[in-house]
Amino acid sequence: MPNVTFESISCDFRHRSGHLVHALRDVSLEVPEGQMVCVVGRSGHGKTTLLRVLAGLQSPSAGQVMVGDRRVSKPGSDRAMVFQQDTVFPWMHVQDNVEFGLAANGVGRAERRKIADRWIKAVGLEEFADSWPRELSGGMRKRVALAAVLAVDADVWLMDEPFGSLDYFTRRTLHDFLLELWSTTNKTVFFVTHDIEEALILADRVLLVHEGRIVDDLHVPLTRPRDEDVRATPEAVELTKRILRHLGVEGGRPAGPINDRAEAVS
Amino acid sequence: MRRIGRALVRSVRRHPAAYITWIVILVGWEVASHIVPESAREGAPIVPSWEFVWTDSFKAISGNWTQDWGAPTPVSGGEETYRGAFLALGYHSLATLVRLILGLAIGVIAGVGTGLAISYWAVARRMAWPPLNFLRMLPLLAAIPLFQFWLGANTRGTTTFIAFGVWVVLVVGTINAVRNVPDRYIESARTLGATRPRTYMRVVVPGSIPELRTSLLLAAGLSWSLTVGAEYIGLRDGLGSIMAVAEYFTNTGRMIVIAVVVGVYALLTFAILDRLFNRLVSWMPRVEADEGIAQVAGAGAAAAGQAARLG
Repeated sequence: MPNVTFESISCDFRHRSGHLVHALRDVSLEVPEGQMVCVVGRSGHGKTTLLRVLAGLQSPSAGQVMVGDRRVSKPGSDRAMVFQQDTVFPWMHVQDNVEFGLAANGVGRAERRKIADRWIKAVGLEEFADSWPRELSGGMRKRVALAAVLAVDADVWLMDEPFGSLDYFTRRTLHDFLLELWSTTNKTVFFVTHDIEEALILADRVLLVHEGRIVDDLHVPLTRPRDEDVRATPEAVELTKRILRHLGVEGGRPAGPINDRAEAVS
Repeated sequence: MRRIGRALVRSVRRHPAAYITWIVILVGWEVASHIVPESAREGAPIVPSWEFVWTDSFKAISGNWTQDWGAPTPVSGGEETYRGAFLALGYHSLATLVRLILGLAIGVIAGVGTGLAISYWAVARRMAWPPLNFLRMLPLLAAIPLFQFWLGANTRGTTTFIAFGVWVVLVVGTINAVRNVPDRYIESARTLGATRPRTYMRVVVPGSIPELRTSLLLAAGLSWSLTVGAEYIGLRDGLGSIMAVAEYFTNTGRMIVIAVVVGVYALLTFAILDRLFNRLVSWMPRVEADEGIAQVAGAGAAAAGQAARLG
């Protein structure tokens, strides 16, 4: 499985108000295969753009992204993405949603069905394979989206705050589920979040993004599973403080004025 | 009949306010008919009372029956009969419905097809948009004489004209609907490995359908205007043409009978299309199945819809 390399990526947008937004500025990065990377930062500082460039949904203004020895030029199922919003197609049954990527990649009907069944079962929705998405809860739909991504067997999983809209309990359940899957498959994961707890639960490595740059690159040496006790060790607390400082929070409260950057990607 | 009655009772319970409005209108009309001054023309009251409309006026519709079977023909000295009135209404309704259904069906299919084709290419969309917008703003009724000159004042010409009007509405509606399909579905499909044509067929097209509902109902209403309008101006049969006859004789009651018949047909069209459409988008998160109809056409349509389903 390939490494992911960002080579001097810059990404500029013309914001609707007319001024130029530098969403990413000269980002270079190397992620070895099998690493769980959390991208943390404030809204509008380039986290999502980083992911979209890797997905091929956004062309960089300069530089290139390589997955193995292949240059990223357009979206592809080797880099499937779970989005923040609900992307389960409401006009397809759960089964067809999960089979969508397989069909797009030319997998035959019987094979498709078999693979989809396995992943639907893995996300615990086997009773709902014939349901319409509108009949499911938000958390269940998120699991459908996850199953669709897992089914195409991507090398890299891209996750853009996938659990942001879910309640705490559902989110924690999905964290465990994701970690379990990841530990058995050794996929590379890019997980965007603004939730420090989430990053500490999941990450091997935390990238801190600020004003379009990667300002810190932290190794997370905590043992798994990362339960409350592990997250309360001095090591973990030190990491939390360091991340908080980068987010502009010091001594327990935000320092300085709010300078949320214009949301470059809406 | 009993089932329709029960459906009506249910509908009244669900939308009592709408039925109150209907009752107020009907009673108000009746009251007005007895207050307004008498018309100078005999048999042409300014506001004809309901008892006049559904007896003398309705019977007078038989004047439009010209076949030599089934009922006497008043035009050649025969008696005015209810039987003749029903036959005349049936005959002319049939002529109208054939034109309307053909025109609507052809227009919807062609319009959605054209809209989807144009939407695939951004350049085509940008090129087509200004003239389409112009066509949409064009008062089509004013173009009837021109169309009849081009295509003939007959069923073929009228059907083509209706199809054209419906086509315009649906091309514009489809282009808008496609443009409003959320990007996230398209992006998700692309990252799952779908090619652009596949994404279009499997994601953009189904994703745009819910928004076509408004255009479809708009087109249904328009198709009635266009059909009756075209028949009124130049045709020898159809409900629009017998409206022209009623006007010629200043027969207000007859005009009202025809207007009511057209109104009921239009409501039925709405109800049937709404039902078909709901079946097509059964996957869609619902508001309330009956709400839509109530919004479009009032509770009368709800009752008509029930009747349509039961009938």
